Amino acid sequence: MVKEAKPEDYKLGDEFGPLEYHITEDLVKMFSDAVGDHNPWYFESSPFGGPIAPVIILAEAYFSLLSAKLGIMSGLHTKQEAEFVNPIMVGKKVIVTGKIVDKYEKRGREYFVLEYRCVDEEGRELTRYRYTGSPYF
Amino acid sequence: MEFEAKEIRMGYELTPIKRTITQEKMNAFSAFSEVNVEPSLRVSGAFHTDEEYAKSKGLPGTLAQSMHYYAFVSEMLTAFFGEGWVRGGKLAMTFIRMVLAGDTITCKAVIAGVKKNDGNRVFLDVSCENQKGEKVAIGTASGLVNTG
Repeated sequence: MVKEAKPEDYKLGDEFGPLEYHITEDLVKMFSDAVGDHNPWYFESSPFGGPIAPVIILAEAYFSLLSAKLGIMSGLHTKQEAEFVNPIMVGKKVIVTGKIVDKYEKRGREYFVLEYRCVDEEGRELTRYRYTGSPYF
Repeated sequence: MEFEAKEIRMGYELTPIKRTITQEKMNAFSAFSEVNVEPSLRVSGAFHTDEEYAKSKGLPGTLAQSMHYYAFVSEMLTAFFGEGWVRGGKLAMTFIRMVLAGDTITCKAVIAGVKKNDGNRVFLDVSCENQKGEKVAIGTASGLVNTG
């Protein structure tokens, strides 16, 4: 039986990760093919000294962070905020960590806010994300 | 591929991106989003890949993942800002309507302001709408036009 995350499992202050992604050429191609974005910066060269991944490549990491600890997550994704700080270089490893920073109720529905950030192997900050969602449909 | 100086003005509309989110693309995006998920938990992708399962949960059909079309918006802004998006881009979107398999999504952005004392930051209103002209996501973005 697969464990499913329940609304009460999302606790304020709970921390998630670290989760490691190896940004390989194959991973970038997998993402680019799925969304149809074939910018040459991702496969040839970029102004940053080599190919980079799409800045948004790890936006979906909230799902892996939450599911790894709480069981499979589902529900309404209502808002997503992102800040792109540095390029994600192909070949690097990226570490993602997160924390639930807010929980609230609005019009009878529960919501939670997960902040998560991506840093590379040297600790250089790459991306900051803020996910807002409701833990059920 | 990036902006020209004459384009940095209020009301300027970026080249939109229009793309159909097929079930095949949704399957590919789900496979990508689960690369770091333990195999026993991957059934979760069923909301996005299994119509029968999605309907059993009260949904009208398989749902596209919001990050799928969020990526379209980022692609549009990467094309416009270039380096000023990769280092300094900000994107906030609210998802207001479900996107189902087969929907065609058009992403748009229009310049809403320029702030010269923050690295020449340009602000935009962004949106995604479906083939019926209904907005499915709205928000704001900003990027740098002088990364010097």
